[in-house]
Amino acid sequence: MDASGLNFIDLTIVNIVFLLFVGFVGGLVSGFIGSGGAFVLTPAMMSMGVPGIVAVASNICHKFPKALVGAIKRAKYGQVDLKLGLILGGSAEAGMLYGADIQQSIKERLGDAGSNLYVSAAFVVVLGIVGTWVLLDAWKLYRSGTTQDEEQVTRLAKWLQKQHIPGTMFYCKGAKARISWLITIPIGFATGMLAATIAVGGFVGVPAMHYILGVPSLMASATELVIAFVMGLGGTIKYGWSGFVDIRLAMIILAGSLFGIQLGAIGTTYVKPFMVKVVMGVIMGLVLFSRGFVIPVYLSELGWIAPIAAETAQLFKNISFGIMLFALVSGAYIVLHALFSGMREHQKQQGVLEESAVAD
Amino acid sequence: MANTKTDASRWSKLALYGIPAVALYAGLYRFETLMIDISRQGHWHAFVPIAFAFAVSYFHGGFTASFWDALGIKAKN
Repeated sequence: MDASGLNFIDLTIVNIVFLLFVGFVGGLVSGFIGSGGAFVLTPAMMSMGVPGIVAVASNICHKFPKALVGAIKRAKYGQVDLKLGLILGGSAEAGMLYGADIQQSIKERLGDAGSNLYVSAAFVVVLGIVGTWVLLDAWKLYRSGTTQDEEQVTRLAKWLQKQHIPGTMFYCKGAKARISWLITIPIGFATGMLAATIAVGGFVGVPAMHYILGVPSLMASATELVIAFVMGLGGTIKYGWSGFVDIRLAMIILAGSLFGIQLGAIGTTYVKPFMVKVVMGVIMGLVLFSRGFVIPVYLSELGWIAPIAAETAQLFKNISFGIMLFALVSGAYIVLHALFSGMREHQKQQGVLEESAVAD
Repeated sequence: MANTKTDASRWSKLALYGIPAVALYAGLYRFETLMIDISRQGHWHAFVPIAFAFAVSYFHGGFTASFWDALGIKAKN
């Protein structure tokens, strides 16, 4: 398939402003939790009349420069494990190609409805399991009053760090331990597969780095940006080679998202690490709810359940998109709130320190 | 005096990154059809939009960093 038969849409000012806004909010969340935003952009572009494959390609083309800027910024704060990011990025690339192949074969067999059902089911299953886990962990930390303490390394991570597989070990700065790159392959592969399916690999990558490898959550979210860069660049070459990238759409989203990603990255320096889990868990929960709404629509389109009226189906799709947008805005609100209250707190502390220095 | 100097350096940094970033976006707007045609050809032409994206990430990324800095929104040391 090539791009010769596809239309690249005419852009209106409303479309441009909307993409800038979603780009900014998505960037803000990505700068903070390492991923996010992309799941809203593809359907948002498609609702403007952009063909599905061009929306996916343009989305991925805005992702790699955004992730690059975010990774550099957070590396300055000492939060990035570059080696781990590149190793995971390699297997994520393979996972992404495999995930795209699965998508393609489902589309050929069951058409658009089958492909949409697969994506929605993946959202519900993955977000249901990982999202609940992450949110419960954040809640447990909050209730125990240990949010100020250093994060606990899970038993699984401690056990994996003890495994020694000759010729495959490397020092993981994030986990402060030697880890076999064989352990990282399934994590990277799953991250890439999820990125190819729901556009947000970080929903698996960040929790996996934290709970399985023992990387602190802030560092895991920063390292995810390296993986996103590797995957984004590979994906852009793949889609760009067939001529599907609409550079105008990608650059408009990038214009907004680079403002957001800087702010999100700054935010990580003011918050307690458990906030990464809160933002991620809230977004995952809401997106899960959003996708749950459209599953009956796709089941009905496939004829697997009784037909749903066209108006009702459209209503479900609109509600689903609305909740997705709400999920992103909620995440952005928590990030901004955490950033500004953290800044105020910091300024207060600085003021007290200066006053006591003068008094001395 | 020190503040004036810092302010001047902030503004010059904003301009240093901002002007090329605006030029890149203005160029994309001006040569929109040409850029779309190149992108649609695919194959090795794909590296034109990719190179463009790298250039935007450098200049616009530098601009946005300076922008928040100029507004006083900085990372905690």
